[in-house]
Amino acid sequence: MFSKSKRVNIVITFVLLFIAGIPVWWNTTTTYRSNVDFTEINEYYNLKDNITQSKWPLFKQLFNQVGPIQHDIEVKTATEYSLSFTLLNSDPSDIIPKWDFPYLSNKYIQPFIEQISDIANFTVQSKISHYATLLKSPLYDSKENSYYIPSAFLSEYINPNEWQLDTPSTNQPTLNFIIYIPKTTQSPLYIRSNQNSNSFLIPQWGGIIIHNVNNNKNKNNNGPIDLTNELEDQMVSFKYQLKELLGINNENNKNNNKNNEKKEKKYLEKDIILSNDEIDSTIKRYTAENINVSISTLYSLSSLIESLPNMLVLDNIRDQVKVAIESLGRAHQCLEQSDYNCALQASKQSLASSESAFFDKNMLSQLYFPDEHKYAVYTPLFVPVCFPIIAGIFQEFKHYRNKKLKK
Amino acid sequence: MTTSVRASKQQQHTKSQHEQQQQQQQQQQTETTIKDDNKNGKGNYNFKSFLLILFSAILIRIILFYQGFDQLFSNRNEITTPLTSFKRLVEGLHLRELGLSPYAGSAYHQPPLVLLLFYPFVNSINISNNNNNSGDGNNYLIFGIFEKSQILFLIIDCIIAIVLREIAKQIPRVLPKEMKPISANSNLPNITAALYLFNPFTIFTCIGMSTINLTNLAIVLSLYYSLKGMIFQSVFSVAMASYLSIYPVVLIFPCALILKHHFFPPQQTQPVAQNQLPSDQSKQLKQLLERNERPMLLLFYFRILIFFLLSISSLFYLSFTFLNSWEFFEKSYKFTFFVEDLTPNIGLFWYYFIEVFDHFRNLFLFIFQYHVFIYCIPLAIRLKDHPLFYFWSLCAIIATFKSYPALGDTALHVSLLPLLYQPLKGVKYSFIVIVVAIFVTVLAPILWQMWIYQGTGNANFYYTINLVFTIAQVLLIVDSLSVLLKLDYVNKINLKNKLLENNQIEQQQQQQQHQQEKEKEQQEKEQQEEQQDEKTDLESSSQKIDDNNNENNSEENEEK
Repeated sequence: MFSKSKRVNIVITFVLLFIAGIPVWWNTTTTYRSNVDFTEINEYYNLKDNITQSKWPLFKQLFNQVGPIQHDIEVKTATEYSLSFTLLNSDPSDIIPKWDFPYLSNKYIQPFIEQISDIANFTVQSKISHYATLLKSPLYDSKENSYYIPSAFLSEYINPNEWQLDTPSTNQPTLNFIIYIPKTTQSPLYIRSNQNSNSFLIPQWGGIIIHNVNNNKNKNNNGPIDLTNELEDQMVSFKYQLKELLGINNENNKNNNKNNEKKEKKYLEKDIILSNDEIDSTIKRYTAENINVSISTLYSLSSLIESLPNMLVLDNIRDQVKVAIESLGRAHQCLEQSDYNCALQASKQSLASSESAFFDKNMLSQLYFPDEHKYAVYTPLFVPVCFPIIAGIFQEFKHYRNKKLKK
Repeated sequence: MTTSVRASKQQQHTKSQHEQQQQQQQQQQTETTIKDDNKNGKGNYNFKSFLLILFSAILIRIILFYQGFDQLFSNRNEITTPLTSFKRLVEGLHLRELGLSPYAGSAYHQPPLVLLLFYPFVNSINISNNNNNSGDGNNYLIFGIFEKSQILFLIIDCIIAIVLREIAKQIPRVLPKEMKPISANSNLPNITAALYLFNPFTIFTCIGMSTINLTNLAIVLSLYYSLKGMIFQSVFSVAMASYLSIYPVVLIFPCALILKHHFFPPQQTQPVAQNQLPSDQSKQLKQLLERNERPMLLLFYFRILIFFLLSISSLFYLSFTFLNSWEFFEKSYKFTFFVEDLTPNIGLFWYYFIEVFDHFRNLFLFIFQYHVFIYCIPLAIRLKDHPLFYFWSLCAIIATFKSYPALGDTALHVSLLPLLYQPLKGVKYSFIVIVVAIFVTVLAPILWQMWIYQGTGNANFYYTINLVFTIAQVLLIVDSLSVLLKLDYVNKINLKNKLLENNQIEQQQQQQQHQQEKEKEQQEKEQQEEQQDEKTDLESSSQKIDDNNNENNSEENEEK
């Protein structure tokens, strides 16, 4: 016993029990914040105007060499892309289409993907969908006995969001390529424009091609129609659309427009295979953009963590940031040696690590919990608990004084 | 001095020897003990009326089982919890028979030995099902087979009632401060058993086939064996109750205090000292006895602790051998502490942990669980002279603040109240507590119906009834404690008055001695004989004065 009096022992016991609970309260309610090292990123941002004093001076040169990066049509830079090919049928009572997509993909898409596989990982998927409808009925041209859609009003007739494409939701960007087969009552369907083309691009989203099926074959066959041979030209068109969406071969388009029509066939055959210059410029462009986005993401993350003291920062954030900064260092070393493939690989890893750190789901768990709510949580807890303990202490103190006065 | 110390030690040794002999006899000859109990019962404590009480209680339960109330009550949240549900037990047994872990279905959350206990009762259901599938179709067989597990719950209720009756007999002998001696014709043991058997909460728990009855049986047995002075049986019962539902681990403190009162009674040293020696020497003797008793008490408590650890370890090891894994720690005990099932019940946890922010969940889990265990040491300091009340108050605190409470917990501590009748006659709020209990019992199912089935209510309605029920139990605990403390205060004042009177008597005796010395100088041998006569007269007069004081004090107590 601490003393002879029972009352004093009881008060001391309650005080000790309360003190024993304080470490549990502290450990269960403190927001864990790992120590993330952002010094290199902050130094780079503060000194980026002075090339000589900057930590990574070659990044500036690379940015100047590549030039301004635009995203009017191009999809954003990523380490992984998902390519989705859809055969979209309007009325299955007229036509039931069929295609041998692996054959078409291996012949036209895979060689292209293999040439640019250093830039990013590509996954290809395909499907057939029915009952697709246009927002408006196309216009009829009695002279040519066909239907047409004015190119200026394409968005009023076709809205891909209305077509239930059911793309799986992932973090990687998805490029959609659609072959639309109109109804028999609306065939043949053309896009009327200056260009003799029945396809169009949607910026940062994908491409759509309208394909008219031959009526002669339809009359003969009642079952599904194999469109594999007819669609080979469409796959070539998709390849050009993909190049444009990925930002490859922008300058060459201008040069090619100047050529004669006779050379068009040769042009098509030649451009199935990319040239070394195109690949090199693409590698440099992607390296520059990866590095730029990584640095911006890390700087934003640093500002975010500093501005929100209640945000949960786990150890994996620290590890991811460390990997990203180390990858940037390796990319710079590769640039010193003029090894652009090595620099591209390092920049890809830096981009992946920085984005996974920035979009970590645990960081948002306490983001909308302000400090004022803690008062609402703690006041009904600690006031009823502390009041009897403090009252007991004061009462024993008075009792002790009275004893002294009596003596 | 030395002779008195030796005498007291010899008395203790003789007592321990007698108890050991009694234990051996009981272990060897159980039938003779039953006969002796019957013989004693016929002549004492109205055993025939107890048999009538027991028979009528069994009849009520059989009627309710036959009418199918077991299916109704076993679904009520107030009666069964995820930890004590018989349906989940059957689920665990079926999984066990299929060769899977009984915890695989996330339904069974009880310790493994409960499964082992019910195995012979529930296994026969499969046989009946097979017979039905083969085409016998005997309804009587199904009725007979279901009756087995129901009979087990009936037997448990009867055993608890019998043990409570024996406890009522034992308390005046072991704890005279808690209860005065009762005559052989007293109705208190029968009333205690009757108030347990006919308590609606007890009937609900039995018909609902809640396994909280096993925990209640272990708790009651721990009290019984501690009053009997059987250390191992008492500690093992506490370990069994702790094994079944964790919270009764705090009952080791009151059981240790009761056993300490049994083996180290505080009163016997005082009359020896007072009769034989003057006040100064008696004080010195008390101090010496206390100094000698302290190491013995420490060894005694250490022995109790060792018995408890051995018991609980053996139970865990038996469970491990039964399951071949330590899975039951996570599925049973972690389930209790981390409140993984928030199905509504009559406790405070479910609503709070539905609403709490995830960031603060671990903090409030700690606070709510800590709250149950925080009172055992302060109450031990205050109530070490009243271990029975200490036992009751801990049972009441567990019933009020545990994570999955049910009416069976309340039935247990309410049934112990007749044992505390004498100190608690002055309770003020008993009427309010009784009315609130009836109010809650009627309204809880109604508000549940409104919330879940009709949709005219919401969770706040049901939680309000839980709060009212908790307030009633807390009011009962606080009021009882305050009344007991007042009685202690009054007794202290009476003792002080006695001491003052004794001092006055001593002063008078000294004056008389002076007069006697003067008379000696004046008178002869014949006068010496006259002086002896006067001494005897003085002693008799002092005894009469003491008796008068005792009578006056008793009258004052009755008035208060």
